[in-house]
This record gives sequence, C-alpha cells and structure tokens, in this order.
Amino acid sequence: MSKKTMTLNLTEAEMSALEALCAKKDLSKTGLMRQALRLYQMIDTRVERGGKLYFEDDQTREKSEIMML
Amino acid sequence: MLDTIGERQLLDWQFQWRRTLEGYLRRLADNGVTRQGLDWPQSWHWDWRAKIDEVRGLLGHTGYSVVCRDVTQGMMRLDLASRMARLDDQMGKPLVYVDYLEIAPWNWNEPYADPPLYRGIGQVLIRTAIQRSFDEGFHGRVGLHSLPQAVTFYERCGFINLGTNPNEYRGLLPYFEITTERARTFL
Repeated sequence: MSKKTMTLNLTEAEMSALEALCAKKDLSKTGLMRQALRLYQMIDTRVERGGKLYFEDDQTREKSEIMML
Repeated sequence: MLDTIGERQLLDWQFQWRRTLEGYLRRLADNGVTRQGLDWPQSWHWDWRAKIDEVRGLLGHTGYSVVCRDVTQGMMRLDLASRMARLDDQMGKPLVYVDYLEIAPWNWNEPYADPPLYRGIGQVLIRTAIQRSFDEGFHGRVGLHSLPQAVTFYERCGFINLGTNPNEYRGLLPYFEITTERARTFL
C-alpha cells in the first residue's frame, strides 16, 4: 500500500502529549496518529448513524455520555 | 491469502458455505444432535455479508480471506483500533483484535462432518493476524473472544486464556490474548 507523508504542526503541549502517549502505548508517532485517526473516524461514523458514546464506571455502572458536536 | 473480503468471497459464503452448512446441520439433526448440543456449530448463524457491511469504509477494520482453487476457504475480520491488551505485562497497549474468524464448512474437522478438504486454514489466518500486528507496530499482540468450540484451537496456537467476564458476550465467550514472545514462537 502506497503511503503519503505530511508535516504536522503541533504546540509544545501537544507534542508532549503525543510523546507521552507514544511511550505509554509503545507506538511510534506515525503509529499513534494512525490509531487516533482510526478511532476518530469510527466514533464519528457511529455517532452519525445515531449511536451514542459513553464511559461506564466499572463499579457503579454509572454512565457518562461524551458529547460529539 | 487476500487482504480483503470482497464480493466474490461473500458470494462463496452465501452460496457454497451455506449449502454445505445446511447439509451438515441436517446430518446433525438426523443423528439426534440439537441446536443446544455441544456438536452443533456455534457459528452457524453468522452472516458474513452483514459483518462486512457493518464496517465498510472504516479504517480501523480490515478483512482477510484464504482462497484455494478459486474458492474461499476461510475468512477473518480484524479490529485494529478499538481494543487494548489485557495481560498484565502488556495492559493498555494496542493489539489486533480478531472480531470473527471462520473456515469453510467443508474444512471442519468435526465428528459428523466429512474429512476436511484443507487443513490448517485457521492457523494461516491466525498467522496473518499476528503478522499484521507486527506490521502495525503492535509487537505481535493479538486478542480475541473465542467460541467455546474453538478454545482448544487457540490454546494450541499459544494464546493465553483470561477467562470469561459476565459483562461481555453474556459471560459465554472466554477472552484470549497472545504475547510478543508467544507470537514470535507461533510464526
């Protein structure tokens, strides 16, 4: 599969967050951005189809909805 | 091995897999095996067309199929984005999750089935999932929920059984995961 290269302009805080996530998830920057895009597209598609995105507390079963506007 | 599940594969499933499956289910019924019986195939109701339509166009999902002599012999749908590892030493790290894996009914090695036409199709698909995990930078990590009938197969592949969770699949399907070291051994 052919791949395209792009330059990403990030603030220092954004770059720090990216690097921290890369270390935590054991991924390269490209790998992490690819995962982020996959997840964002998946969530956007599900929400467009009428789905809702929730976080559920494992203990209390309490749900909090993430608003995707 | 095709890195897709295309219309040709879905037609093979729709017209060839299902015809063979129907004959097999009739044979089971003739031998007194019921839908609740242990020998009844637990994937008999899977609708591959619906499973592919559900994720069409999504970057986080992909499919693979094994084709021999111009006929689809096995298919697998993968989730590359939304699942994280659960084993202690790889907890929270990304992995390739096997949503569904099935081989053509004429390749089943089951008590009332004819001898399999091809063997090893399941291993070929698992090898592909592991290789994809390495290619993605996930270091070979793969996870899946197994139908009870397939538990022995995944254990033989080197997966670790983390057991069932009452909040997932009604507590019926055990979760399996393979580590980098075990994945390397399998390859």
